[in-house]
Amino acid sequence: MKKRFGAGAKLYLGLVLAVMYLPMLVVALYSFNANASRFPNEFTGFSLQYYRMLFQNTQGLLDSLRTSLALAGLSCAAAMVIGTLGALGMARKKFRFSGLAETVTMLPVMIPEIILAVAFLSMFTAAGLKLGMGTLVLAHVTFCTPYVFLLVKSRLAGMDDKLEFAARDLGATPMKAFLSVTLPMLLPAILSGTMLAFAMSMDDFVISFFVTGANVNPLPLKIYSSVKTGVSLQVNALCTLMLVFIFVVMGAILLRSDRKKKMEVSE
Amino acid sequence: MKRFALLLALVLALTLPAAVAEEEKTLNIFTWAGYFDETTLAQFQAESGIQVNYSVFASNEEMLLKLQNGGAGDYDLILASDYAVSTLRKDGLLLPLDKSLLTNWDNLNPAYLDQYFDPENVYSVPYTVGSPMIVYDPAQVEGEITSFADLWDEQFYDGLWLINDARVILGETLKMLGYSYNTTDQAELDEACAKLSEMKENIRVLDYDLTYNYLTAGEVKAGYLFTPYVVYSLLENPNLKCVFPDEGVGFGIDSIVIPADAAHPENAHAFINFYLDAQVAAFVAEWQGYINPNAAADALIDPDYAALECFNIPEELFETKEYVEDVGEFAGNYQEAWTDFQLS
Repeated sequence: MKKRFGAGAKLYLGLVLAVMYLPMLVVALYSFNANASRFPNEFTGFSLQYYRMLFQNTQGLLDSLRTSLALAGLSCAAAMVIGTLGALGMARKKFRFSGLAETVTMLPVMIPEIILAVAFLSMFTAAGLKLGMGTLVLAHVTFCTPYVFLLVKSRLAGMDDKLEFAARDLGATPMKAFLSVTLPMLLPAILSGTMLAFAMSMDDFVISFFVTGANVNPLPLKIYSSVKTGVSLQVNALCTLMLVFIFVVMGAILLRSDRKKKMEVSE
Repeated sequence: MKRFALLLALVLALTLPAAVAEEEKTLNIFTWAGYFDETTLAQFQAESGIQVNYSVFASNEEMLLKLQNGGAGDYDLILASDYAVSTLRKDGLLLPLDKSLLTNWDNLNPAYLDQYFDPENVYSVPYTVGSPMIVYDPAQVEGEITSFADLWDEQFYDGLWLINDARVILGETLKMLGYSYNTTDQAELDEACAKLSEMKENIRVLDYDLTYNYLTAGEVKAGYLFTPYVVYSLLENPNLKCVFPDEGVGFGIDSIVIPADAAHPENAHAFINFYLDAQVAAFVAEWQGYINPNAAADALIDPDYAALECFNIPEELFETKEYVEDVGEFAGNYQEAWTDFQLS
């Protein structure tokens, strides 16, 4: 029998959850505002008008979302491959400067964003690259890769490399041993690293601002830059939809792992 | 090595611009989101056949940093504040305007031309003009408010909304003390900071965001706000009163410029000329909530709207107007003073 939470612990948990989720609830609530004035501060009634406007793309928010998703998707796919291969290589082969190389790999995460951003811009323009989706992806891959690298590396550290030797000993080719022994064991780390990188890429404002070109506006740029003229409730509508999507996906994952656990228990 | 060269070639091929023939029907503009409205943008695109690509920045400083580091290549037209225009001009990053292409140039009100940031308007076209004002709720405030110094009164305890802008608030305080809005004298700045700290307890909100209107909700008694906020406060609650501080006024003009190496300068001129049209300017003026710099548009604006006090700076105060100017290295001292004030 599990021990129940005491009243104090429950109160504390409730408080923490309230601080975390109340602002999001307010955002979601206001997205249904019927108030159509320029600064709709008052909640005057229920309406889906901002959702309708969002899907009519009156402010190009959908275009920005598409840009952000493509950017995050491309960067994370690249970061996933580079990060995983890097971690594997570093774990397997020690060379003279491997300690130094590992530290250097982490630099993009440590350096303040603004410095990295200006450095990217100077480098891209010096190289004569046209600023746009290409330069955005290059920059995002750079700061996304360390997350995958770090997580996969720590997973590898806790993993017994004799398992792969055993697979080889039992006649598996190197490829087969990697695909059916090492990779499945690394998968959770690869996936969580990639998801972390995805969130970082979707979220990034500073670096994206400096390395983007004309007409490529990722979502954070679009939202931050409307501060001067007022942020539209269409943004609330979009955020609400994104929140719902994330909750549904998380819920599905939780349910699945719950069921798996139960099945394991009943076996 | 060969593979690396191949990869490099591929990356270059993906990112280098395709060779451009004549000026294509494209215009890349760079400004705050929502600063050109959807209606007039659609009208311009329909009339001219030019496709407008709208890129955004969140602050003048970011835009300057990007352009100064070679990021100007893509943009054909930039809308930014007076001091940013001044910096761009001094850095040689702007293209002189071809006035022969701007047939609507004479529509502009001469009062807003030939300002310090671009004498003779070689490079810039005024788009929106603003001057911050005190707005207060007479139902909650005793007596008449006329000056910035009135905000130190204890009746405003926990009841003020100030814009979170170091230069604008410190500048007006300096003006109140009889110094320049753009002083570079540390002693004067310290005095202003100390003076400002005395009214710390009166400030309820220090914010740059206008999604929540504290004034109309009655949450604060008075505020010192930029022109559009004043306009929307007045429109939502006509009982509010507004006044330009009698110590003198702060002032700003957001202007349109063309970067020196713009790829589509002719399209940019067509765009500017379109926005100088009286009808278009009148629409923009009512939509933006700033003072309208287009004299020909004045007659086309709703007279009740145009009569709002915030659009009509009394002449003797107009003489006192001061811009937030580029003070070079000293800008850091203003930020420091502002941080000191916020922590005090």
